[in-house]
Amino acid sequence: MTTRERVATSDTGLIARMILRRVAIGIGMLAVVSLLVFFATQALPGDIARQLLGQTATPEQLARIRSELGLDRPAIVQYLDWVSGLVTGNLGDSLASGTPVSELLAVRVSNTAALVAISAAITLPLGVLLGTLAARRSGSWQDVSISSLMQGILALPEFVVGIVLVAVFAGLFGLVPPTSPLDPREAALAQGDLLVLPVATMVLIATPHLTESVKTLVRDQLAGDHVRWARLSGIRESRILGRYALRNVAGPSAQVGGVTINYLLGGTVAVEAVYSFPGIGSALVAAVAGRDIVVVQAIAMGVATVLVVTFLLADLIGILTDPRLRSTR
Amino acid sequence: MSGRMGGGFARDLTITVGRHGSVVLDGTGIEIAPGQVVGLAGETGSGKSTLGLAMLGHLGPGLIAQSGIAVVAGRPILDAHSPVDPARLRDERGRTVSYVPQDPGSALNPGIRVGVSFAEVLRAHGVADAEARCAELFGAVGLRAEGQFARRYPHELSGGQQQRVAIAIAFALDPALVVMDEPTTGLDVTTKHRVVELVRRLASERDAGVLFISHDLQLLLGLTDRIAVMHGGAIVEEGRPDALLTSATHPYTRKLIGSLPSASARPERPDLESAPAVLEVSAVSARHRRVEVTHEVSFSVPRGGCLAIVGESGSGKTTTARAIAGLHADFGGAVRLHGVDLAHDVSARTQAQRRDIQYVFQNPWGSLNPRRRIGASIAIVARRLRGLGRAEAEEAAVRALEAVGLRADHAVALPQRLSGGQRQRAALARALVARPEVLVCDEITSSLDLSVQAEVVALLSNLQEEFGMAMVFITHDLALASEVAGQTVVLKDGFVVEQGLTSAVLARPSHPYTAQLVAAASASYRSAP
Repeated sequence: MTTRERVATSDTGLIARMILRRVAIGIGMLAVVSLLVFFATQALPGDIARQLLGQTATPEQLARIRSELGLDRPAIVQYLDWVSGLVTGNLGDSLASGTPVSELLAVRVSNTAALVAISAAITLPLGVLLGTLAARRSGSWQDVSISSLMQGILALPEFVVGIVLVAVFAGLFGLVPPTSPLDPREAALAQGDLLVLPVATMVLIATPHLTESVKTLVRDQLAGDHVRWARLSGIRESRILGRYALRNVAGPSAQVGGVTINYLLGGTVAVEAVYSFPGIGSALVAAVAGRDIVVVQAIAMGVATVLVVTFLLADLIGILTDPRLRSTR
Repeated sequence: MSGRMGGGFARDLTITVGRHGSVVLDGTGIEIAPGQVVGLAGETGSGKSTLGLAMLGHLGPGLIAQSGIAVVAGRPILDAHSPVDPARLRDERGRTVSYVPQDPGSALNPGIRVGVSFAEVLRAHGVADAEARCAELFGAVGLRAEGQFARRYPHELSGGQQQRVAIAIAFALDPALVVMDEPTTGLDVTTKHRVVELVRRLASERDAGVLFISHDLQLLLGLTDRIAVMHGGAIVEEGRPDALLTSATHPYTRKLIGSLPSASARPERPDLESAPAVLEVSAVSARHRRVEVTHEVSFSVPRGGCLAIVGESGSGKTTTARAIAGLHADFGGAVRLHGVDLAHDVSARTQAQRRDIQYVFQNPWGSLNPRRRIGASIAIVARRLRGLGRAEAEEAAVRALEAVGLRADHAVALPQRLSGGQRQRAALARALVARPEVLVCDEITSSLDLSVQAEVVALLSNLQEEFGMAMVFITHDLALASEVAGQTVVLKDGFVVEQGLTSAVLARPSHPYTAQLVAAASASYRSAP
């Protein structure tokens, strides 16, 4: 009894501790990711210097570029050097162009951020709405039509979705441009017409997962004892849906939402390629092709950081909406 | 006294699965007068919950009312021939007729505070002074009425407190009828006793009719004004408890009365006394988050012997059982199997040690994978722990199912197809297929109907002799312990307060708490007029 009271009254302290714990775990995860990224790119066999200079390079040229890039130092020294650069915001210079990575990617980061943010802003509410509609009455026409539509889209590869959209909206109707070569001198949001098709593609490929997950979560809640009891106590259906079902799925839905954002980020690689969209995804593809490992490393770490923060937020929503999570550990 | 003003009745109710499916209620009826507690007894599947829910105008998915009517406070709630307006039905529910669920732990919304749950129901019926009513009703059901308690979440309450909250909400709007669906299942004897007294008092104070559904005939005998016994979708016998006890005519009623646990202990087999201990629990002090919850609990179980651990919820009996099985690793002291110290954490135990101690959980709904066929759930144990091949394991699973009184075709069924009793048998089969030395049964009969419970207890005794296992039987029911166990340990607040032969514990309890338990175990039976 007394321990329970203590738990109830020290909620805020407990929440703070749980968040700190998760932040610490997040930092630990980033450290592990940094190791993986670094050793998967820089320290693996395969001579970067030779790939940069080509087969005709003389040994002297190779040695010079190695020492310029610091590749002749022990791997651990290179790693620590790289990590300290990351922490202080120095991402290094591109191997291909010699310009600082931060400068090279600045515009692309804002382009992709706009693309993902707009897509997420549409996908998250849309998925929750469709999932809830489908869950409200299992087997109803809403459920059947939403579920079949979502299954259909899920079955298509993302580039096919992109091509179909281009063919219909850009080709057939000529409503929007078929490709999205954003002007780097202008903000992405100011070039809205160029964002339409990439965003539509992203929304289409990410919504089905979210819809299906939310549907399952809400349906399980609606089938629960507490909903039956609420009905038998005369509580209105609208209130049951809001207070007894949706509220209780906020935490798990946030987790699924995190996965959706993760999925959207991954989707940028294909979507940006289809639309020649100058973003992080296409930069990553180009950097991998050109063996520009400094750029690859920067992008990988950037994406990992965004994901860690996303899941931290999702956890936070879970902790705030489910009192049971607050009273254990 | 046909309940014109209060109470309620059902008449000629026939409810079927689909239009032409099997019959769940077969033209049956019941009447509950104001201030009266009417017991509804019967096995799972007898239709007693369906009848109870029909009094609230609720039909389960796929059920259709073919004929009949249910009326509460003079107004129809369910009418097979002219549908009740949904808006009016919603308004009657919670106000005129209310419901107390079997498991308040899952019926109370986990995301909102219990005071808010209370206010929600009042709000739904346009009643404003929720706070004052909450204080009044929480006080009436023996919960602390001050604000701090209402601010707790369901998971911060004990099972008994959760059930009191549900009862407070059910009586909040002075309903004419309260339907209680097995409200005391899962409560320990003393708590159960208090809840029953509370129901009696509220019914007469507030002049509400109570339909009390339970498989526990013993409980109903002490609680109710009248008992209706259901079998096969119809009420086969009805009467005052004393009349029922002495002159029941229907064979099913007589079977129910016959399976009431007797207060006499099972004779101890003297040869077991000298047998070497299979399991030794030595000074186990288990901790939950640094708080010690059991204090140097020690006992031993000989081969083929059975020891019961008896106590209220929160006494540490399940924690002790979990420590034995290695599911709770944070404890001081030792658990020994054949004299060998076991690692505290099950993951550090050897495969053979894991096989030798098997655990059957309280809740058969949660312990079987709902997406896996029963046979597969059992066979995987035989494959993992006994290293059998696929075909052999499947055969072993079928044999285990047959040993616990199920059929071979249950192997291909999913758990949801099985009743609670069958499911618990399947869980038992899964434990037995490992051929354990020690079987730990954690309240395995508390969610079962009384007659099924008697069968499972008999089955356990037979299996124990057949397989020569030692058994640790956790229960809050001392009468039940006496049916199964030769030796008993009584736990209170984590301390062993009594230990010895069950017959001796029952006959000459040395600790006041044990005396109280012995009294409680037979109180409801004795208080029947």
